[in-house]
Amino acid sequence: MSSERTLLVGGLSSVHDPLLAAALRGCGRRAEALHPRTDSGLKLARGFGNHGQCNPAHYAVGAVLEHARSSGMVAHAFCETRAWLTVGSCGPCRLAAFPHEYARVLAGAGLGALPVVLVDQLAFARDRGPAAAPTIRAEEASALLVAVVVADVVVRELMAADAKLVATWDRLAEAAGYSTRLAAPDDLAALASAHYDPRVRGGSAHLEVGRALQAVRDRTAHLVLSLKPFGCLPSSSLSDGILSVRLRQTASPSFLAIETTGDADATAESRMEMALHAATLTASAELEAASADAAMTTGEALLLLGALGDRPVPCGPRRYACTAAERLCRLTDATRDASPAVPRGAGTG
Amino acid sequence: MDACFPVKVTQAHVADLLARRAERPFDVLFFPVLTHALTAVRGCADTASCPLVAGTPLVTRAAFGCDEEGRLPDGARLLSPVLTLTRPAQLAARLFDAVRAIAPELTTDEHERALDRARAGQRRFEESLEREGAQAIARAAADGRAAIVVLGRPYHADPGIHHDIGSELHALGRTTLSVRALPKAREYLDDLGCCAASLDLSDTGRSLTNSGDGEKLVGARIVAAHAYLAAIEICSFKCGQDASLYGEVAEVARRGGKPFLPLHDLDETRPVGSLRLRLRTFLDRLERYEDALRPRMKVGE
Repeated sequence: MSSERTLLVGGLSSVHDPLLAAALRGCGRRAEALHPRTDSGLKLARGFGNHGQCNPAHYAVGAVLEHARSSGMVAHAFCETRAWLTVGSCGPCRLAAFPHEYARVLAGAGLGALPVVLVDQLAFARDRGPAAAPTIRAEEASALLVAVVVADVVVRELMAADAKLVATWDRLAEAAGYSTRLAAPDDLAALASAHYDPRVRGGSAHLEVGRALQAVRDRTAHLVLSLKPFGCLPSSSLSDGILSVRLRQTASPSFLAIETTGDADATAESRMEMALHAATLTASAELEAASADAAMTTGEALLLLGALGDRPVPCGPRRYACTAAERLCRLTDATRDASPAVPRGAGTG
Repeated sequence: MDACFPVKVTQAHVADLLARRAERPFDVLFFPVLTHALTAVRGCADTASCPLVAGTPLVTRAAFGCDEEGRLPDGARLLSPVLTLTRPAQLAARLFDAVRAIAPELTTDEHERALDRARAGQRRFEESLEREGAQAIARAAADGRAAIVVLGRPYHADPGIHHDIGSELHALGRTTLSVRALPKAREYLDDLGCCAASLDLSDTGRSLTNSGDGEKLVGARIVAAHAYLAAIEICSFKCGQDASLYGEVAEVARRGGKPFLPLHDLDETRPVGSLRLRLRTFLDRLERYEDALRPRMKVGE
C-alpha cells in the first residue's frame, strides 16, 4: 500500500516544495507540492493546535488540511492514499517541536492516520504516524538534497556554513551584477559575537544580528527589516532586543521588526510605510550630499544617472547606502582621477 | 521586542539593583548565559535552556548600555560567561576565565575547591528537597488528601512570577510541591508507584530538547502514577516552550480522571479574585476525586 501513496511535499517554502516534489517524481515516485501556505490554512490549523505555537508549524499543517478538504475525499481514503513529506522543524530553534504539533492538528482534523515523513536535523527521513510511511530510498534522498540546495540558491539563502556554496553564490551574484556578496554564516557569527554569543544557540538569531551589523559596516541599507513568524523566540525576543538598541546607536540603518500573525496586515503595512518613508528621507539626504560633492543639483544628478542607465553598484567599500548617491560618488571620483587638477568639492555650481 | 513575562521581570530586577546601587553597592553583577541545565530526566534529544533564558543576559547588556566588556555606564560590570552545566570540565574552564577577569589572583586550586564545594552543596540541597518532598507526599496520602504538584519552570520560584499560588494553596490547607521537590531517586519512585523508567522520555516519540519541557512531562507522569498527587500547571505569558506542551501535559496529568488546573499566560497582572475562584473550584473537584478514591481504596484493602 505504502508504495502507491502520493507524497504531498510541503513545509519549506513555495520555491522548495515544488522542486522537492519534482525531484521525487524524477525518481519515479508519485509526488506533488502542496499549494502555497495561506492564512486560511493557518486559522484552520490553529483551531486544532496548541495556542502560542509559532506559526510556521500551523501554516505547514494547515496546507495539508486545505489540500484534504479540496481533494473531495473522505478522511480515511485520503489517509490511505497520501503521505506528507515535510520538515521536522523550522531550523535549529528548539521551540518548534513541530512533529508533535503536526500530529495534534492532524488528529484533531480527523487525519490522524496520515503518514508523515519528516526531514530534520536528527534524521534525514523518519516516520511519524500510525501508518507506515513510504520509505525514502537513497537515490531519492540524494535528489531531495540537491533540490534543497538548488532552492536555497534560488531564494538567496544558504542553510549550511559551507564555504564552497558561498563562493558559488558569490560568483553567480557577481555575474548577475549584484553588488552584495553573500556572507558565510561563520563570518556573520563572528560579526555578531561581541553582542550575541553564537553559543547561546538561539536558532539563527546570531545570523540576524550579524547580517544587520554587516549592513552597518558596509553601508548597504537604510532600513533593517526583521521579519519573523508569530512566536519566533530567537528573533522576536533576542535579536530584536539587541538590534533595537545597537542600531539606535548608529545614524543608519533604522530598525523595524514585524511579526507575521496571519492577520493585522493593515498594521504591518502602516508600520512598513512609516519605516520606508524614514529610509527614503535618509537616502535623499545622502543623494543631496553626493550631488553637492559633485557640484550638481539633485535633479541634475538623477538626470545624469538616468542617462547612464540602470547599472548595479560594483562590489567594494561604499560611502553611501543609497545606490544613486554611491553611483554618483564613484562617477565623481572617477572624473577626479581622470582630472587630478580638480580638487574634491571644487565644482563650478 | 515582545519578550515573555519572566524575561521582562529579569530586566526589571537588574534595573532595580542598579537603581539601588548606592544603597546596596556592588561592582559586579554575575548574570551567566546558561546554555544547558542539569536534570534527572533522560531520553531527551538535549537538555538545553530556552533560548530566551540563555540569551537574556546578552539582551540585558544591550538594553542597559554595556560596552563589549560588559561594563555599564555607571562603572559596574555585568559578568556573563557562557556556561554549559552539563559539561563539567568546560564549565570549570569558562568559569575560571570569567572570574579571573575580576579576580586575577584566583588560582586553579582555589577555583577547583570552590567548585567542588558548590557542587556538593547543590547535591545536598537537592537531596534534602526531594526527601522532604517524599515525606510531604506520604503525609498527604496518609491523610487521604492529594498533594498538589505545581508544574512550572525554575523561574517560577520567583513570587512575582508565580503569583504566590503555592501560598494560596497552603492557606487552603493543601500540601504543595514544585517539580524539583518531586522525589526522583529509585527508592522514592518505587514508593510512589513509578518505576525509574518514568524519568526516561524516549518512549514519547518526541524530540525534546528543552530541560524544562522534560521536567514538566516527567512531573506530569509521576502525578499520573500516584493516586494522591494532582497537578496545577503554571505558564507565564508568551512562553513559547510551554505552548508546544500544553496538550500533552494536560493529557498525562488528567489520566485516571484526575482534576487538573492549567493556569496559562500569567503576567504582571494578578487577578486575585478570579485566581482564588479557579483554585477553589479546582480544590472542590479534587475533594470529590478524593471522596471517590476512598471507597475504592477500602475495597482494595
